[in-house]
Amino acid sequence: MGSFTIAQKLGFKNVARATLLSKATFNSSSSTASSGSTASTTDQRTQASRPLEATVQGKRGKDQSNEVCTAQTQVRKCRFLGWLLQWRLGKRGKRSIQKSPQQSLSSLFFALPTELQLEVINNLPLNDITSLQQTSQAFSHLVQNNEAHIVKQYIKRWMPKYISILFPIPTTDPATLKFLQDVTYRREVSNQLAELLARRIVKEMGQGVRMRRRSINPKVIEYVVERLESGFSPLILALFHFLETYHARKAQEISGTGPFDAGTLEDREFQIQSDIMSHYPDWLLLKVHQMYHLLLHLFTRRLTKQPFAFFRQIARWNHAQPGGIRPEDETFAKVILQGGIPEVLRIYKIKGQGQRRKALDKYIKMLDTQGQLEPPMKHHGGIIKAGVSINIDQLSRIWVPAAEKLILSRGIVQNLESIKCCGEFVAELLGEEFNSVDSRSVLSQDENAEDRAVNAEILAAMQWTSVSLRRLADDGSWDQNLIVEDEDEDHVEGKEKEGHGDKRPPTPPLPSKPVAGSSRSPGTIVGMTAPVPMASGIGYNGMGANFMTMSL
Amino acid sequence: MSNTQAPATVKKLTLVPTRLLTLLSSDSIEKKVARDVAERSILIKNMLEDCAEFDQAIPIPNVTSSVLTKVIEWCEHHKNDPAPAADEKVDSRKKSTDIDEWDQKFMQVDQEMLFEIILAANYLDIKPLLDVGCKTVANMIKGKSPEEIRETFNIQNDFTPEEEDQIRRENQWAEE
Repeated sequence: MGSFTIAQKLGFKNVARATLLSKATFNSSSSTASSGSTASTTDQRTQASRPLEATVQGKRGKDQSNEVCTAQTQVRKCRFLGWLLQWRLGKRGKRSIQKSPQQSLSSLFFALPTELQLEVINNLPLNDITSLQQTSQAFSHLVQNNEAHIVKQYIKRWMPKYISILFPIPTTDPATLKFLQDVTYRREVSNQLAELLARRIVKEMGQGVRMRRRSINPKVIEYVVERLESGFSPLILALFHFLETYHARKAQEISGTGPFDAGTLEDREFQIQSDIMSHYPDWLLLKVHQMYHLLLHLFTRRLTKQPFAFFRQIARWNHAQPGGIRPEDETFAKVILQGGIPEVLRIYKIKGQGQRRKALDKYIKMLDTQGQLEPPMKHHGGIIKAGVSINIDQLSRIWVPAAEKLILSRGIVQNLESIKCCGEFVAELLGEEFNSVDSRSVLSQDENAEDRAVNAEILAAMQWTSVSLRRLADDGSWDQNLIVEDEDEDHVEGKEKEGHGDKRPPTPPLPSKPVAGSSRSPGTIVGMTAPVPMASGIGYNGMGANFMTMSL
Repeated sequence: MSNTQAPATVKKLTLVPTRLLTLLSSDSIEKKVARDVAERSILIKNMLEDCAEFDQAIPIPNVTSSVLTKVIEWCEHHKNDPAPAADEKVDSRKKSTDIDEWDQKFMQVDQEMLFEIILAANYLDIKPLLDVGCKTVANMIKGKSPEEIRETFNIQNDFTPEEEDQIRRENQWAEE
């Protein structure tokens, strides 16, 4: 009886799992194991053999013809059925196991129950799922029929938590792979930009370090880059989300389908922005706010002709065209609003100052002449609508005012002065505080790193860079180090030939200061320290204000 | 667990200190296995919790002896693994290429065996082994073009040119 109860349990488990093969094999084994307990065996057997009933229908009919309905014949019949099933399935089982050499992987795969097929697919990154879809009808159907399940599992398994804050699965219709592709595309772009920015910063930190120390271990560099990247990337993604949602909402207003609030255009813009931000949790909002400044700062600088060129080009003064040091605010506003993060990435990625400027000009020209925008990557099918041009906000009115107000009203910080400046923000990302947000890559690296010495070195370097970053940020010396952006790569790109018209880097006449002159001057955001960055024309902390100073 | 249930069992247990269980494969071959090893299978574990008598052979009707041997080998090696963290985040963050080195070697079997192991793991409810199996299959697909997958899986491209075109267009972004 002991083994029978066990078999029974196995059997029930089995039925629940619903694999045809197992059901029937169980059936047979239970019939051999059990000699008593007729009713339950019969029950069980009929239950288990239901899927196969059709196949044995003929036999059964024959049986039935001379059937006298006593319990005994019932039992005999069941036993016979059990035997029959055992025989048939034994054969089938043998076929699947022993006729192996000819079996292709696909027939093995499709012999699995669907839940297990999906389990395999759940282990695949998105591009492999799409590749799989393209192989054959069978795979295509498998994916299509289980799309919602796959998407859900995928998000659960592969996407960090913040994704569902920014891009919740649409509640209206079941999640599609398309949705997943859109999100993945955005992550991909954000990651790329995050890495570029991280490398930039680390490189400049390295320059700072080299002045004081001899060298840095490349492993340390990689570690810091990775850490910064994983810190930046969700924040850039949030900006991506903000900018494209904002664009979509504005476009909606233009076409008259959006909800019209009373008030001036500026009020409405402010309203929309706050509305989008209101979905962000506190930690995200504050960090994205800092990220926005850092991004804008690095992007602007990337497009700003180098003050150092001033010294290098003294000899060329008379030939150089008196170009602006940096593009105008309006240009940046256009790129950011119309192109969003993808366009920022595209331009940022370009090597060579001159090339970047050309690309930027071309893009702006395209916007101006067409009055409309082809999204940078047409096929990604993003939310950024092609062909809708929106009125461009003043740069100072994008993100900052609405975010500041929200940050204050939520009490995330006591006052705007206590929002950390870019340098401290970076240091913070590198420091311990960041662990609470998203530290998986860092942690896993810690776990796996075999070389403890390197680990120790990394930690020491981290602490050191952290401290030095804070100090650099405080006294503004980092900004000066930062200024030598791109010298190396741009030499190769032949930047020298471009001819810089940096005639007056040190004394920007602050024409646009009034723009920032409202009660919440952006200059107050970052509790800016000093005139040092002002003097160089490129501020690092006090980003907002210096941003204005830079625009000539 | 069950030794608290019936005194008779307790007696038997003290007689057999290693607490060996006997598993009976589908081809009627008995395998002796330590109880803690067998309990990697949630199916067997739950069963033993409920059943007082486990002195008889436990039939594992879906699993042949060769597969059962393999599965037991895996369970032996992983018998001391910590229980899967209740916190699922840790698991989900693991990239799916992460297969333990030992497991990778373990899974270097012919394809039929691989799928038999997956089925057995599913049937016996050994989640980690199932995961390893599915990851191994997934790794056969990973990073391959549709054409390469077809080759690996030995399948025919049965799309009409139009269908193929449409699918490709839908997935264009992935080819960037």
